[in-house]
Amino acid sequence: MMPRTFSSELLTFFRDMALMRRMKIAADSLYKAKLIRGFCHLYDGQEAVAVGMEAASQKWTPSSPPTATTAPSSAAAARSPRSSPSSWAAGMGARRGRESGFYGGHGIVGAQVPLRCGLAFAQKYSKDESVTFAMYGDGAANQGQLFEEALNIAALWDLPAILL
Amino acid sequence: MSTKFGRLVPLVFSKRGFSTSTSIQKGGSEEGLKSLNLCSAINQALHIALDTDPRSYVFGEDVSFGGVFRCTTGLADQFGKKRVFNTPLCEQGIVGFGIGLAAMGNRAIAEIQFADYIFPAFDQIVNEAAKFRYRSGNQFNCGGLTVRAPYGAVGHGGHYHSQSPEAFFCHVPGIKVVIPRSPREAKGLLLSCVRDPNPIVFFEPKWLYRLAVEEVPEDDYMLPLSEAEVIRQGSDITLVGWGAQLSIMEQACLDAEKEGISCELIDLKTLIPWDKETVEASVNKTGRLLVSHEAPITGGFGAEISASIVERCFSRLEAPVARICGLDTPFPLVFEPFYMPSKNKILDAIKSTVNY
Repeated sequence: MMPRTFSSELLTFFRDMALMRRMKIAADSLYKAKLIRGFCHLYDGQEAVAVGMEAASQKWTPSSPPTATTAPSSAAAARSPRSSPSSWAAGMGARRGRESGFYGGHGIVGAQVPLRCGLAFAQKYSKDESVTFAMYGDGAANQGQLFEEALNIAALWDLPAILL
Repeated sequence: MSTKFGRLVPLVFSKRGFSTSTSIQKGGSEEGLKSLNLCSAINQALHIALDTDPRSYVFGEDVSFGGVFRCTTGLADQFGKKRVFNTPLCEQGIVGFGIGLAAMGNRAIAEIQFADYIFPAFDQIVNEAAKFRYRSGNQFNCGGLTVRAPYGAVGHGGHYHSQSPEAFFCHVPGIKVVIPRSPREAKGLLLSCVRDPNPIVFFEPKWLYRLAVEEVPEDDYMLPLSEAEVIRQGSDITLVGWGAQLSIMEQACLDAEKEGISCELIDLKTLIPWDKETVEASVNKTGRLLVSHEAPITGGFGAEISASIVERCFSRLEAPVARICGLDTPFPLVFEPFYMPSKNKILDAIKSTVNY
């Protein structure tokens, strides 16, 4: 039976997505103003993925985003009652991220997915009845370590991993 | 000023002042010079490579529209999408494809978008390309393969867009590793690499893509591989480097000269197989050696140079070999200025080595 979604939840989803989009626009402006250094990979147009994933998952589910990392972290923060602009604008620090099951982003495209198989194996081994989300994009789908290796090992060992 | 390579011509560098470059080898002339940055020199070399050999191909991520650094701009328009084409985001596949293409007698010029991304292809380069000729008893080879990759610091790249991985490949018999320091060098060396009968990894200093500007001959010319160049004569200490680091070392040499220290500066150009004889002759003259590179100091190629020169010149050395290199940390973002082997670090090492 499909779980019901209430209008208040839908409004929350929309608010979260709008908040993420506003953050992306702000991050883009800060990057162009050289106030954010390094590389700034944005998440415009993909907000629904993170919000839907968060909505469908329990709090302890570890997640692994692709190289565009700020939005999933801000999605998790936006759903937290103690969320503040500073907490999500800075992303979730290593400690906070790990406490919420967020294991960070990766600069090498596709490299995060095999790592998440290890997380999923640890979950299965400890019987904690949770799953790992391993997120990737169309670019990473070309990498051999994703389908031929990570997906293969996840299937062979029946790991609680969702590649999305 | 002249060297065994001929007349030295001035370079115009913005921010990273550098003063010298070799004259032209094999077919180049001083006529028909054009002011080019390093990116444009690479582009011109690729145009010539494709134009002079109908069995040459350029491929990699985003190369058909010019690449992220615009080094392949115009190639697809001129030579068609069958000879200049995009690949999927799959470095292992890019290099593996290049090996197969080269094994069939073609010139395969593969681009890896950043040197930091070359590691998924490491197995293909080390276990396939480097050993292809040897394991087949010279029945087959992939000598037509050239792998281009932008390497090194860029001011804002952080740990995934600034690495200098040359030392990894210098441990592999069967491939060559080449790194240019300037536009003129880049064009001549890249054409030599493309036409060399061995697989070559060609690292391009991305910091210099726009900053390095030099008079470059427009015609087809090649510069010899495995020949280091003495780009500055001196008598007190020998400095050895490659790529973008040469301009930093040149500045340190100029500052040292003001303090009465005469520095000899050598551009290695080809790291494997490297020109031991030129460095040895210089160290026998000066009695001191300093090696500098951006890569972390431990296991960097500077260690190999140091060990080889100590073996060859032990009785002539007046001081321990100095290595001024990157730190043994992942490449930092905001702390990049502290990580880099800067002019002042090199100058301090020059003075302490000379005064040892």
